[in-house]
Amino acid sequence: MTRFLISLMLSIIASIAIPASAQGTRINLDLPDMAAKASETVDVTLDGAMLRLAGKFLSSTDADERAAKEMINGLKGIYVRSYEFEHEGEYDKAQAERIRTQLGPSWKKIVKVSSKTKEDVDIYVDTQGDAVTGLLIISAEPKEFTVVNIVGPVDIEKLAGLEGQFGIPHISRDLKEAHKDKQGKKEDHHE
Amino acid sequence: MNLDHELNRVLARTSAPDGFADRVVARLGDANAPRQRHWPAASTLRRLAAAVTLTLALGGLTAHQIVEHRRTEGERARRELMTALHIASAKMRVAQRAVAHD
Amino acid sequence: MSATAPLLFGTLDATLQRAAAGDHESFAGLIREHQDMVFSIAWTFLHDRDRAEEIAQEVFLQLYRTLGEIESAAHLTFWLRRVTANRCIDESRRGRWRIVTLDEASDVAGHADESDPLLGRKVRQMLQRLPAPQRLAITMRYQEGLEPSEIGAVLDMPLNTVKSHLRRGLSALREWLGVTS
Repeated sequence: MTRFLISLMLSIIASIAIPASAQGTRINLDLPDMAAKASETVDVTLDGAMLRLAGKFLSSTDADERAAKEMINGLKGIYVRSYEFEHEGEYDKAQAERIRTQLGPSWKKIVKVSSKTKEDVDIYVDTQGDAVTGLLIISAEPKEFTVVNIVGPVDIEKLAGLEGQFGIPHISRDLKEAHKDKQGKKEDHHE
Repeated sequence: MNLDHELNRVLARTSAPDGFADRVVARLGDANAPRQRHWPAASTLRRLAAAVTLTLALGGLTAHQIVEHRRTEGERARRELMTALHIASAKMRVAQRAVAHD
Repeated sequence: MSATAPLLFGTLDATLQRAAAGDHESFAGLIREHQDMVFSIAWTFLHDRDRAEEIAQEVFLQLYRTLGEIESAAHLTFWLRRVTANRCIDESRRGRWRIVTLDEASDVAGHADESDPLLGRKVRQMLQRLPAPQRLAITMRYQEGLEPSEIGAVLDMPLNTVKSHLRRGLSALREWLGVTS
């Protein structure tokens, strides 16, 4: 029942017509205490202007970059902080509250994954009326803490399918057509 | 299994195919041929004109430096964007798998 | 002529100068000196010998056109690694990827046993599943023996990004190969 409700919620959100002008809220992802203890940090800050610039350099022949170009259309920003630690228990999971406390009433939690040994993932969407205007992912693993904030009309289903299943590269459209012709039947979509 | 050891073993350099150097040298005649010059596309000319105008305004950088700087910045932004989307996509799939197994 | 010929006939700088002046024999010596490195990077990345040779040939042809800019032996090695990596990424963007069906991928994944004679093949095939930046970072680390800072210089990436690519790539390989340590 839970699975059905979550899937239904995702489907409804994904199918809602998203106004291009929908504004979202940028969340402050900086956690200086965590950054100080991390052995490695990934820090991505791409506002609207940088996203547009990046879009101009995306390849139209690479499947992932083509999908990325579609995804960033209309987005106002993408922000990532990922902290990796040498040992388990080096960071305080409660620091995630500094991020959650910034979420106003327009934010809704759509997924919660809890695991004692692996990865906890919380996914929130920001909404204005029926439109999705932002996404927040908080992921806590034993030796890694990651937050992702996407501001703007993000397509959640497309984002999840960006890399294909299990890291196997997307088959390019040209190869798919050739494979389809060879097989003589319609190829399944496995993305 | 020690993955580091296996990667060092498996990824040891392999020999280039026999005659590789000879085949490259045989193509040097093509490599020497002067590149054909084509009149730049109108869009390229407009970009160059904009770069020259910017050079006059800035007074310091050459047009080439401006274009090159923009290309470097753009490529960096592209790489950062793909990194960000890969990370976000991976986290979304964790949630998807959890939902699928629920 | 052996791969070390350029050193027998004089300094590498002199060889570079002769090659830049159009001496094909000197240039052939340079190729033989570095062909295994260039070809191996391309083959590990693409897992296709024909395409790897195509890439490797293009790299050396590009070198021939820009020999005058090479300043030293170290610069030459750096230049070859960087250009080969860039061409591999360009090649991967052309969409001519080898199709890895789900059945094939699941056949080779799973528990990796050191006594498994096909282990090397499994590792190489699992490498193909990694995104290009992770695959390149791992190639530079384990095939070329570069430190993360050197990988960053070759691939024009920040150090932390290189470390992240290595960590994520190795983590994925461990998972797919069923390695617990």
